Parts: sequence; structure tokens; C-alpha cells
Amino acid sequence: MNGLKARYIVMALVCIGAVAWMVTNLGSNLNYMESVSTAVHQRDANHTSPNRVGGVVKPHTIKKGATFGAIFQMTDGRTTVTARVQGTPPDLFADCIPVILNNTHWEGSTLVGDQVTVKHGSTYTSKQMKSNVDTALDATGCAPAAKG
Amino acid sequence: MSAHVGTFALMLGVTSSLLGIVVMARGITTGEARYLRLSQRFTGAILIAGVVAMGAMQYALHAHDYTIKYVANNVANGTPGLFTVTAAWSALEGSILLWILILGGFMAGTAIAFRKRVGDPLVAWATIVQYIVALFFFGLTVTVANPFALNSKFVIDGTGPNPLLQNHPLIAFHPPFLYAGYVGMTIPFSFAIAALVTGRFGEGWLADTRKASMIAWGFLTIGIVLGAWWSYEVLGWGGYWGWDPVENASLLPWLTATAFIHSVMVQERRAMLRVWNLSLIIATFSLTILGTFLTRSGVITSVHAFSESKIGPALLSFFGLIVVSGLGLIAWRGDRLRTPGRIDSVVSRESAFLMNNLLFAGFALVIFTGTVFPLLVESLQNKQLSVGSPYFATMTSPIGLGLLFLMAVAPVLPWRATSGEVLRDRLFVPLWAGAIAFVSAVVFSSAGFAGVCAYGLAAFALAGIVRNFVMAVRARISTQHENPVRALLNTVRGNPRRWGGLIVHVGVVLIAVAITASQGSAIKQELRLSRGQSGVVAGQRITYVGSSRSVTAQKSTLRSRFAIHDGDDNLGVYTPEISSYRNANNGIGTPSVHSGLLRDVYLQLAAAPDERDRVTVQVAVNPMILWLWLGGLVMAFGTCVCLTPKRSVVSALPVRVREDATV
Repeated sequence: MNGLKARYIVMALVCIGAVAWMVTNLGSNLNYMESVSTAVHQRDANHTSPNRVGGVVKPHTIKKGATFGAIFQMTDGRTTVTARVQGTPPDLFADCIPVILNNTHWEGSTLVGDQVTVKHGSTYTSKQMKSNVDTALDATGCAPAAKG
Repeated sequence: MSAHVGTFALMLGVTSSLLGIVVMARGITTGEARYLRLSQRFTGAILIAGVVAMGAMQYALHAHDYTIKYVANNVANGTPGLFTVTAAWSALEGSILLWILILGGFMAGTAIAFRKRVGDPLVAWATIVQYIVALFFFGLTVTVANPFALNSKFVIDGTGPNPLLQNHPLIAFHPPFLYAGYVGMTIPFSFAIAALVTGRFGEGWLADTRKASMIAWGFLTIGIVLGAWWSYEVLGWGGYWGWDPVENASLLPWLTATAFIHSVMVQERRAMLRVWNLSLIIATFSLTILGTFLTRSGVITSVHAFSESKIGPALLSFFGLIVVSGLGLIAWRGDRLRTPGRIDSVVSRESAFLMNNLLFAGFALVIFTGTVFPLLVESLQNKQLSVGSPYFATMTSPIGLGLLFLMAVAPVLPWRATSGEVLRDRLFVPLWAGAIAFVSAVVFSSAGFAGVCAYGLAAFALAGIVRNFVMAVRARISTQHENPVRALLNTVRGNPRRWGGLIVHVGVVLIAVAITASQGSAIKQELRLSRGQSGVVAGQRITYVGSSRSVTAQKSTLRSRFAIHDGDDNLGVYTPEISSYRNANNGIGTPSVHSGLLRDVYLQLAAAPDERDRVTVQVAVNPMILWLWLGGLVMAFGTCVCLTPKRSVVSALPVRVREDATV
């Protein structure tokens, strides 16, 4: 009986260990998405930048990079920054598109990310995201209805 | 016209489900066979309702009947025939139609299979549960997701499907297969609930639903592999798996279903794990509903979430209902579910199955947490976040290795207990094969520790399976004097479930090797090339040949041609393309892939020719991806073998091997 008890204790410990490992691992891999305003706020406050920054591409501001990548103005409706992406943006990258800039850092006043993720059009986004995006689109003069 | 026919069919479905429930309840309470028999007939009516509704939708789509909102939103005058057919499931409302049609098929099939047992309360209760599920889905179509809702505007030309859903014929296969997997789980689930209600939670319901579970599992497996293929070969996201929430949503029920089809063997053989099996199948079915909620309700941004709709709360409530009633029934039957069986030894088949189940459940827990956690945070704190793929990769790789190890060891372990001698005998060859593969991987491959272990374990598992086949076939050859081919056929026929299962395992080994290799050493690079210019990526010489444009009513397409040379070998000309669809502002890229046994050369246009006629192309050299698809095929084949009827063939196994070969 003692052997059985010991076995249960070992099993319980293994389970607790496994769950603890999972939670730690999850905690260290959470990427919060922040707005452009928050990113600028973080820069002014302590020279850091969020892992992911979400916003909308301001129309007629995209310049394809000399080698690869692109420079564009990114806005959340309140704040606009110059953003640079190092990798080539995906097909859907264009004016008025909601994007997420990943793994960002500041180079002066330019927000540099290694990769940009594009939402598949604002019709396919969650309610919260959609209202944020619509606000930003309104502010930039892109009518939300114009997009598919 | 089609709107009326369609709506009528959906109403017929609702009515048939209701009548089915009422008549069946009457039959169960009175015990009168005529009610029970009558009730089964409504499954036929449900199938007819599904067929007619889908037929009406197809007719409306082909006739461009834009008075129906769904048609106007999902098909255009220029949409080609195939994508007009598939438009029926390119958006939310239509995809529920497909769900209903498949459910009708499974229900009618089950009714036919059990036609001689209409008086059996287990069958009666299972049928009631199926009617409730059918009622829910038919109910969706006449309330929050009406595919035949009329258009308030006059439309001359429709919008056409989402560009990503009219870009490749795979749309005709991936959703139906996945749905067949999802929906098929209704059958074992309904029998599990029936077993709980009737108190017959012995092994009967497992035997009754073995085939249905295998069929559903097979479809789900193929559906997932096709989804990976689509993402890799068509969508051009470069990879086959991104731990995307919708991918995870399809993997979750697969994990619990896989655990289920393994652990039922323990219950059949040793009468243990009853609660566990009931929980697994209830979990599987509820996860299919949760998966549908995640992908369809718009809470997650993806190609699968078409629009915001009111279907979310309905699906979530249904999910809650399943979980609560399932757990409630188990709790209610708690005491009687205790089983006398005990595990005698840690080194036994049942103990290996138990470990396998714990690992699959852990796997599912990891994926579930990573998928649902961001949604919880978003709804509670109104913050958007995502879980990085390193979480999934770090957590799942040790679990995957554990499963590979069990897959290698379990099939050679006897039930109950074993001796060291038997083990040594059976594991000698596989262990050597594993060790050689491990050492070669350390020497020749650039894989990390986990990768090297994966290669070793894969070889270990594969050698074990091959040894099993060779031993059995050899025994037949020597005792029955059959030729090798006949001996192999007769071996499989004698126990298709076991040998089919081992064939599925071969597929899993292939997929494990493919995943390990492709993660280890993929090389990706961008080239900007003028016409005639070449660039070299990982030994592959890519030459830009030229570009052309074509325009159809559906889309305008830019194709750029590239010649690929591997050293002196000419691998041919490949044409990645970018298509612009009439209903979208932006182009959709389609990669072009040279597939080879050792490596794929993957071309994706990053930018159209510029003013100096230079194109930018992303080149990726991905090792051994082809093995993923081969593995999927082998798994599908193995599942089919499992489903073939068992034939009695003269047993030719000496005692030692016979023990080895029993399931």
C-alpha cells in the first residue's frame, strides 16, 4: 500500500511539474499587441518598444526599400509614426490595410520591425480590432467600406 | 424559386428532427417497436432535407440567383464552375448546409447499420442524441445562419468568393474532409451518451461505434493533412503549420480522438478505463463544436472566419450544453462506472496505452491553453495578444518524442505482463535500427538534440513495425507454404484492425521524419533578378525566364517563369503567380513548388517586375516536405485497411508469434 501511495505522490508531482512548466512557457511567449500611441509612449518613457504594434497603413506613404522591405507611415488614428519593415511585406500589404509590425525596436523616431503581418481585410477581424481599425481608417481618410 | 425549395427543405429538417425526438421518446417510454421503427425513418427524411437544401443552393449558385443574399455574396458572373460549386461552403451559412448534409449521411448510414436493432434502447437513445444535434444545426439555418435569406438590394453581378477561396481546387476537398471528420464524431458521441443514459457502459457501445470512429478519424486526419498542404502549396505562407488558432482547432479533436481509438482497445480487452473513454469521446465531440465556434464566429481573425455573426453565442451555448450534460451524466453514473480491471505491470500493453493517452491528453491541454488563453484575456481585459509559436514548439516536441517512443514499444509489449527475455527478443532488431539512425543523425545531420532523438525513435518504431510484418508473413510462408504476397494479404486479412493500425503508424513515422527534417534546416532567401539572370540558394540555381499576364472574367494573373537547376540537373521551369481578383484590391500570390524526395524548391513571387523588368522572388529550400504528404496518404490507406472486414484465415502463427500478433 505504501508503494502505491508513493507512486501516486510521484505521479501528482510529475503532473504539477508539467503544468508549472507549461504555465511558465506560456508566460514567456505572450505577445501583447499595442497601438502606435502606446509604442510612442513607451519610447518616450523608457526607450522600449512593444513586441507587436498594430495600426493602419496611411495611404500613399509606402516606399519600397532599396533592397528589400518597405518604409511607410503607420497610424492608429491618434498617432502616426514612420515604420520600416526589414522583410518583404506580404501580398496583401497596401494602403489603408490594418497591419501588425512584429519584433519592433526604435531607430531614432522610426519604428523598425523585422516582419509585417497583414489582416485579411477588416471584414475578417474581431469586433474590438474592427472598431479600432475603423477609427484609424476614418482618421486617415480611408473609408472602411472601400475595403474588402 | 430555389430559395423556397431550400427553405422548405430546411424546415423539413427541423420538423423531422423534432418528430424523430418525440416519436423516439414515445417509443422508449412505451417500449412499442412500431414507434422505435418509425422514429428511425426520420433519419432518412433528414438526409433528404440535407440533399435537397444543398441541391437548391447549388442550383441557385449556378443560376446566379442574386435574389439570395448568400449567392450574391459568394459567387459572381465570372466565377468558374468549380468555384461556383465550392462557393456552397465558402462562407458561414453555406458551410452549415454542408455540415447538415454530411450529418444526414452519417445518421442514415447508422440507421441502416443498426436496422436489425431498432428495439435496442442503446440505439434508440443514440438516435435521439443525433436528432438533437441535427435539430441544433437545422435550427441554426432557419435562425441565425439562414443560407436562403433574400437580398434586399437588386444585384446584377455578385461579389464572388473570398479570393483565397477561389484560388485553388483544394477548396473542393479540404472543407468536406474536415467536416466529415468533425461531423462523424457525432455517432460515437451519441452512443457514449446513450451508454451513460441506459447504464450499459460495458464494451458494447465501443464495438458498435468502432467503424464510425475510425471513419471519422480517417476523414479528420486527411482533412488536417489537406489543410497543411493547402497552406504550403497554395496560400504560400511558406510553412505547412503555424500554430494558428484555426489549425489548432482542428488538431484538438484529432488528438482526443486519437487517444480514444487507442484506449478503447484497453477497455475492450481488459474492461478498464470506462470513464476515461466516455470522457474522451465527449471531449472530442465538444471540441469539434468549440473548433467550429473559434473558426466561424469571428472571434479569431483568419481566412476561416468569414464575418461577424450571431452564430457565435449559439455555438458556444451548444458547447456548454454538451460539456455540462456529458460531465453531469458521468457524475451521475460515477459509482457504477468503476471497473474491476487493474494494471498488473508497468511493462505491459495496457500501461503503454495509458501513457499514450496521458501524452495525447497533455498534448491537447497544451494546445487548448495556448489557443484559448489569448481569447480569455481579450474578453476579460480587452487587450490583444497572441501566443508565440515557440510556446507550442517547446511544449509539443517532448510530447511528440514520448509518443514516438511509445509507438515503437507498445505494439511489441504483450498484455498484462511480460518477461525480459520476450522483450529482448522482440526489441533487439528495432533497438539496433534506432541506435544506428541516432548515431548517423548525430554524425551527418545538423539537427538538434530533439531532432536527433526523433530520427532515432522513428527508425526504432519503423523497424519494429517491419519486424512484426516479416515475422507474421514468414510464419505463414513456412507453415501454409503460401507465396510471400499471398502470405502478406492473408496476414492482414486475418486481423485488419491490427495491421491497418501498424500501417497508419508507418505514416506517422514518415510525418515525424518530415517534420523533424523540415524544421531543422530550411533555407530561405530573396532574390531580385533581371530576365536571364540567375541566383543560387542552397545549391539550387534559379534563373528568371520571363513573365506573362493573362486576364479572365474571374481574375488577372501575372505569371513569372523560373528555371531551376540543381547542379547540372535541370529540374524544369516553375511559375509562381500573383492573381488579382475583381472583388479584392490586392494580389494573391500562389507559390510554385518543385517537390523532391529530399528537398522542395519553393518559389513565391514577392514583387511583380519593376520598371527595369526585375522580379523579386522568395526562394525556400525545404527538406523532405514531400514525406508529409506521403505520410498522410499512408495513414489514409492504413485507415482503409482497418475498415476492411476481418476474414477468418487459417492461423499459421507459432505460439510465440501469435501472442505477439494479438490485439
